[in-house]
Amino acid sequence: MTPPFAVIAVLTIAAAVAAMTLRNLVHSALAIAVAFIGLAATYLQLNAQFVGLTQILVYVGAVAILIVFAILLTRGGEAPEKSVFSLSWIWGVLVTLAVFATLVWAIKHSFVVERETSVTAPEANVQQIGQALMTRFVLPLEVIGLLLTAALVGAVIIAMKEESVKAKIEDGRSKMDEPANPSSILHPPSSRGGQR
Amino acid sequence: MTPLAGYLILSAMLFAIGLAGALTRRNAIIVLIGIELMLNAANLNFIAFWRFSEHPEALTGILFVIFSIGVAAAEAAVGLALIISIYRHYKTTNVDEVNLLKG
Amino acid sequence: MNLSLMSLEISVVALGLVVLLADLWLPAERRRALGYVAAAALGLLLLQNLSGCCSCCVAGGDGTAFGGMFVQDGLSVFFKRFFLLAGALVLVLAVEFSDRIATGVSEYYSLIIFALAGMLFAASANDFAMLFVSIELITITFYILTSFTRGKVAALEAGVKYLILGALSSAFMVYGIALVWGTTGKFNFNELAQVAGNFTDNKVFLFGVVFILAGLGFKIAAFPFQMWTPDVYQGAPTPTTAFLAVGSKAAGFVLLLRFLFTAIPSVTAHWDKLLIIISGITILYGNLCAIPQRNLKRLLGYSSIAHAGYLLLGVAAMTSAGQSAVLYYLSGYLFTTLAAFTVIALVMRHLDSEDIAGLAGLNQRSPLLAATLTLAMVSLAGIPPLAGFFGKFLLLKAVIEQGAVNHGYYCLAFTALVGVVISLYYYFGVIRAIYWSKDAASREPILISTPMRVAIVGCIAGIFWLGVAPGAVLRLAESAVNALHCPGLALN
Repeated sequence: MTPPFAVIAVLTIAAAVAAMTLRNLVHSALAIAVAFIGLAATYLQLNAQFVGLTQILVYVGAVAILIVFAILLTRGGEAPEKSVFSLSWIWGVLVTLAVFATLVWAIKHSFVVERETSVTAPEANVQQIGQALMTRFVLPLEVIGLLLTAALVGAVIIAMKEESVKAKIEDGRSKMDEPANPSSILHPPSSRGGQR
Repeated sequence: MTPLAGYLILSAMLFAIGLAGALTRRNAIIVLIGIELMLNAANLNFIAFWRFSEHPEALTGILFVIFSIGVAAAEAAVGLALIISIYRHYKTTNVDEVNLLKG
Repeated sequence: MNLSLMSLEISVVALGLVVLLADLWLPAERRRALGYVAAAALGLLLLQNLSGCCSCCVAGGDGTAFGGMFVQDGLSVFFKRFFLLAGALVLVLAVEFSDRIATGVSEYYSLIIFALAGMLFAASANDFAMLFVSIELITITFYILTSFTRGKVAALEAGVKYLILGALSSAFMVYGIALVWGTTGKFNFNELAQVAGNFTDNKVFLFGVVFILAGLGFKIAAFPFQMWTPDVYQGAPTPTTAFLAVGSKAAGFVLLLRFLFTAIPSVTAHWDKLLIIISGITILYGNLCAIPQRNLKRLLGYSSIAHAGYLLLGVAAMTSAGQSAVLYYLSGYLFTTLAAFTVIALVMRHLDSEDIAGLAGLNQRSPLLAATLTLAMVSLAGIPPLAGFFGKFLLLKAVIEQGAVNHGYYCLAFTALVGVVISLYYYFGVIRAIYWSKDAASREPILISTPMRVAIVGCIAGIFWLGVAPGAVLRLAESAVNALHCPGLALN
């Protein structure tokens, strides 16, 4: 075990433990950002620069910020007075310990761990990754694109404010005209659009 | 160079920490953070196995991690939207106080 | 590269995008009918698939694309037709339900179509990348579809519960894929099958397999990953529940079959005891918990757990007879479950809850719906001559044939029979509420639109057809499961 790895590992684990135990949600979110950065550093150490930078962009730049937004929007900034752990926490801890113990036991007793790394570091530059994404892995990439489209549409619909919606429900089953995209603004040149 | 087992153990520890958080915390946002941590632990496994594999030029591990990051981001977006929506109705984000459905 | 193999998926995705965009141009009052257009388009695709592919898939029209990642064989063709039929029927149901969706009716339709596209990809998935992305496309779309009626707190609660447990199970699955790929170095199922035999005593590999099975077990709602099912079934909008019960479960089963019997047949062969135990517990759990339920959707949620257990009988048998029985049973389950949820959506539209007592007087209000729900319950219970009976018969036959190998199979068959007897009680409770309850809440007749009527009659015809004349579908199912065994022939 090399010193850089040890430092990064200890830092990442400490940040992860902090994120899972701190009472204040904002502190948790900051701690998880540190853990994400620690993981990115590990990726860089393993010579996976592209993934390391993606990790920083997506997890630290987007997911952590999204979490902070959610915390602030739900007024979770203040630490709760009651316990932050659920009543059945002991079961969670037991399950976790069982999973962890068997995992470590399996890793110790398996012949994969003796595998040695090649002397020359493997190449994974952006060009190779791009070529693989566009040839062999183009189908999963397209499916991920579809998934992100669906998630985008869905997240907007679920989180939309709903005063107008409530009024409409009480109104009885009226026609569906959405406040989000009034059809009057987006009139097409011809009314033929949308028919197959 | 750190042996493969070192990375695998680090990943197993992160997975366990995330699982513990997801199973014991009451706040739904922290539960989601725990799950993100578990996904990250799996990604670390992929990268470590890729670095130590016999054919790293195949890039399979790296590409799977890219897909996994994309899926995790989508999951986080939908999850946090749901939590915000839940907060509007229940005025809480604690999962154990959201218990209308039972039986 | 053979792009024409994927023409079906491409058309379905294009349809979803067209529906999503058409919303911008269509006047508000016509958006509702978009669902009929989409359902008709899916029906046309299904007809084209039935007419065009019957000749080609018999004459060796199978193939793979993207380096074996995407496979078109008998099994995937069978499931694609299944999903298309389910998707079209669910869209008709969604149109009926659309007046209860406050915002974004066309988004609801297009998300259903996106989930359908995910199922089509799942039917063809032949490596871990496709397995992962298709299962996530289905699951994430279903999180949204579950909480789509966000004015209802029950839907939001169901959505958040589904999301937390679903994300947890997918984290386990990704971790498992990492371990399996890391130890074997193989991503493709056919390549994995050739080397999996060397790893049967590698602990990390076995751990990975268990984690992947946990993720798939969540999709099919098998014990011990079933706890989300009743809550989500109850809280979700009815079309979502119907699609979840039929499509999502079938997608889980096609991936499970491919993973167990194409990717790791040499490992699966040693795990008969585990499968027997899970199947038995799932059957008993679902049936016992269903007894005290008063909410019809929750009851069907528990019954769907029990049916996952019955379907696992065929997986546990580990013979091609068992696997074709799974396919047959799923086909019967499609018609039966969609019929039941259609009736629920129509009857309960003016009630706040889906309590069984709300069925009172249904016979006077609409004899067609009363008869449909009765037939669905009778078929779910497994009484001849309906689809559910013949499916259960095939599953039990496959299990008992294996009894000579391992006596545990006899115990499993007995457990399944006990489960069937228990289920008679609650299914007949529903029928009693339809015909023999006194205080009917309202007596006004229920209006059924013409497309809905066609869908209902189609479901009834399907239930009878699969029960009385099983030959055609059974032959299809038998030829479909042959695809599972071709690559791993030497290992069986």
